Amino acid sequence: MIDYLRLSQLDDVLEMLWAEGPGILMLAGGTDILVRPQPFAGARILLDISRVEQLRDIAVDPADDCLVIGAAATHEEVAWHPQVSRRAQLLAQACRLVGSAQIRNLGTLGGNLGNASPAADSVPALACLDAEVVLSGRNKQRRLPVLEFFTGPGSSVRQPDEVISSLRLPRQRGRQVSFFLKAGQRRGMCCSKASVAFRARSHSDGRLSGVRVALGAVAPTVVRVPEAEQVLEGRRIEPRLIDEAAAACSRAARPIDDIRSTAEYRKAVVGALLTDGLFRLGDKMKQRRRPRRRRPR
Amino acid sequence: MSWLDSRRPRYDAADKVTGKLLYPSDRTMDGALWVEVVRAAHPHALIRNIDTSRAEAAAGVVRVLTAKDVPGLNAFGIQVQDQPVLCHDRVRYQGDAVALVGAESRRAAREAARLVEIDYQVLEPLTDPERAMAADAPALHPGGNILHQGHFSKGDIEEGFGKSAVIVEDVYQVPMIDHAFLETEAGLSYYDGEVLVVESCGQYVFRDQTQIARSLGLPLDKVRVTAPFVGGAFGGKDEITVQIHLALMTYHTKRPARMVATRAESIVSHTKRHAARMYYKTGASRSGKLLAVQARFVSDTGAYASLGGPVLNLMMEHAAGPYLVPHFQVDAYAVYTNNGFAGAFRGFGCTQACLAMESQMERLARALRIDPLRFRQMNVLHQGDLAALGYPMKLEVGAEATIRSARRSKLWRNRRALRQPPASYGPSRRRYIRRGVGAASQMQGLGLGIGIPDYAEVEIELAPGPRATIKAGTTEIGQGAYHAYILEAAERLGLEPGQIRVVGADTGRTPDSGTTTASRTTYAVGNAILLAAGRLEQELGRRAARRLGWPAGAGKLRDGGFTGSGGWVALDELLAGQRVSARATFHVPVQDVEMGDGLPHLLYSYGTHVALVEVNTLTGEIRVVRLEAHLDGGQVISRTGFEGQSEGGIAQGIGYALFEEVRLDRGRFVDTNFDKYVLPTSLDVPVDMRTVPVMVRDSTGPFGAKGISETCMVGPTPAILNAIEDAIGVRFTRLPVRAEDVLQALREKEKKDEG
Repeated sequence: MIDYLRLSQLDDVLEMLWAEGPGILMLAGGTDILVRPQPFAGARILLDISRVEQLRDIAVDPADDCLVIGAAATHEEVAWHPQVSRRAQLLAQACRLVGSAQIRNLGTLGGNLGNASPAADSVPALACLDAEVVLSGRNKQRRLPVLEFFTGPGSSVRQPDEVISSLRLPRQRGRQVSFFLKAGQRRGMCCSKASVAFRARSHSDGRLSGVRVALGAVAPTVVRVPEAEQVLEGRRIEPRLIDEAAAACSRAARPIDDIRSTAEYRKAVVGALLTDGLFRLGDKMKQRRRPRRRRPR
Repeated sequence: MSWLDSRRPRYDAADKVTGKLLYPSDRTMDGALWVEVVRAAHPHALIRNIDTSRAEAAAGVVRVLTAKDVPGLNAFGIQVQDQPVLCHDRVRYQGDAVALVGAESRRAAREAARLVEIDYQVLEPLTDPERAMAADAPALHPGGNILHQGHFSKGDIEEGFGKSAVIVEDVYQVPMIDHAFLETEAGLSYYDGEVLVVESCGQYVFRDQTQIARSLGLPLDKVRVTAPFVGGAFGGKDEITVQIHLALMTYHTKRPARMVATRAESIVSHTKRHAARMYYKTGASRSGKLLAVQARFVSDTGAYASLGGPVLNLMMEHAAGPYLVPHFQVDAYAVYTNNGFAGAFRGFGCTQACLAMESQMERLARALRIDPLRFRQMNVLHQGDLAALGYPMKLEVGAEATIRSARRSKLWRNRRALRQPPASYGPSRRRYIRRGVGAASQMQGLGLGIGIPDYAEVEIELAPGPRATIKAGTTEIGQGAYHAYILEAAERLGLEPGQIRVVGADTGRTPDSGTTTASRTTYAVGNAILLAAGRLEQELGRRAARRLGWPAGAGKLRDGGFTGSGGWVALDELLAGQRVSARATFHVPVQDVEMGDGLPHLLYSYGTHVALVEVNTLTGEIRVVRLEAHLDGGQVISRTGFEGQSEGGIAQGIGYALFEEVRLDRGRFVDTNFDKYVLPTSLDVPVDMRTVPVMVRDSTGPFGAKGISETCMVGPTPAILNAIEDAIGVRFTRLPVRAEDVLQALREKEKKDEG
């Protein structure tokens, strides 16, 4: 038997975590927990944080111009929030590809992190956006880069008395280009067999800077691929560089065989996804640079 | 006005979408016990001992039943009763039932089920049908492991190949797949006086009644079975599922009993589509004449017979597709293994054979450099031709009409242009995204075929209002059959559809209209409705003579009234407060020659599908962009129902082509839920689906109608495979075709092209 408790104040949540931390299982959307064969194994209290309003806000912090996304905001809320669309299009795109409409309506961004699946779709996007995770406890708070949060499949640095309270996305300067692509067993309602997130600043001459590449579902945690980033840094998108960057992604992948796919395919497809994304992006950028021909009147 | 080919909304739609209509899993009664089945712990084992004492002592448990509690025949099966109701000495697949627990709550039943102790001697499972066929393989049943085999030939196969300029030979493999009906197996049983009632989810209440009565040792009139509304089946509930278990629990406890299978239990326990290996060799002349088709089938029928024999017969019957072939040979085997158990599934053997044959046709056309649809048209069967097995096609053959319709479509005519990805893809992407167009034609036997009793009896009652009630013994299983009956009756009786209702599938209240399978209900029940309407008219003629003094003679029901020798009279006036009813039985016509159970058919429906697919050659991902169905179901009764069937068939065909496979590991089910058993979602089915009715009216059909509920799912799969070949030049011979397979095949092709 497990006790179910729903709190609406963040302070109460933190107090509860401080007092009962190790026996608590936090539930936000429940989309990962409730489908497990033994959903509540090892827990005494199921703490529902989905109604904590302080955890659901999406707003810009005037102090440092960061976009702050509450951990209990759902994928659907994040995907269609105007501030997210404006400042973190990549995250919006990734959130739109999570599961199905039903899962996106319930599942939260914080939950996607807390579950610590290497296949979580929001994480490669957050990694490319240089996001920080904010962990809060009673009388304490710490921030860390999103990828430092994870220690392996299903495990993270979160202490039992902490809750993921928000994600902070710094403002990106200049014109941003990005994409998130995933390979699944089908087109909707699927876990990623492999995913790729890409972000960079695009300059008027077509060169890229601040390149970020992150891969999902091909290693124990989401990984960045510095080698691929360096290939593209300061350069224009061109086929030779795409091949090099894709090869770097495949090299960086340490995938496994499982019920959804094979390690061999995953290794190949991360490179393929990056290639596909970069070709699409390259074509789009070329089109934009070409001055539009006016129709003769 | 005519109600035929209408887009009138289904009469049951509102009740279904609002949840007002109750399905078997919704049905309950005060004091109903929950029944839990204890299933085999191993796919193949001997039972040394069953100890139920701990389970019986558990809280909330009312009764635990084992084989010794089966009062009648401890076996069931549509054709051969080789499957125990409750196993006592041996289990042959993971879903085999060993004991039943009846308890006050579902939870108590489940917990007690775990306390039933069964001592097994585990045996090596037989998992490869070709190995199971060998003489030295351990026998799963007294008659050995070959459930059924068939050997037919026509002409001289060697002569056919000798004359062929092009020969294509290959082996095709199709997996076992699940029906994935939405409502799992469910039902409620109780005593109504002395009669044991089972409200269940089956596809033929009268046969279920027989099977229950036989196992309980009861006379038929002491068992009543109902199943008017069921949440989907696709053949998966044709065999007994919960019915006998429920009845047995109520029989012993005298209490109502209820079952609703979990999805895992459903997947493990019910029949599947037969996995099969199909060895094909086909030859054609230089001018494009199909000369020889040789096929060898080994189908994995799993642990029990169910309909494995007839499914194999239909594979043989449809082995050469809707084509004229002078030299033909087929050898086929349905083999017992410990891989679950297989049975009826929409398409019923045609699905497998068509996949192989249509792949062969495509490859012959390519080798001969003939337009693939033209090649099919050049060889298509016509009325009067001899089918591959040598019997004549006596009725109207719509195959060529569907091919013509497909050839006229924009999709086919513009296929060269459509192979180019759209400009919006950008110049780089257009280099590695490939598109292709492929087609497939098929025929599908309609009804049960010769040798299996195939009739439909219905009753129509006219009452003041005027209103009409159709009593039919078939199940509304999601397919829209009752709606079709209403339209057929409205057309014939001269009433509005809103004045007609259907009472369905109840052995206590409805006549026996046969099975809800084999694309037969709109056709067979529709014909019975027409016959019953004729009898009503005779009766009304007599009544008019008696009451109104009209000269004796027949008349016609028309415009809410009756037109006879004395003119038109309103039905209400003629009925004068009374009811009139009539019953009639339609016997589905059959061939003269009998070649096996259900082999062959007289009636067929036809179809040609065209698919446009896109392959991302970087990731191997396949997307079906467009799919067209040109279907000959004769006169369309409900256009909405026709399109609904077709679009559902397309979705299932896409699942078969690209996603679905029941994976077994040494006889154990690997995926027992829809998180890992991959079905297509709405995003995997093209928005661009088109269903074109090609109405070649059948001279034996009601208003010229035939069924299409299976034809529509048979063609999409080979059409997709053929389109994939058109796109990337790779022929897949094994389903499903996953991105992993595409990427690997492309790599191999690249190596070959370079070397």
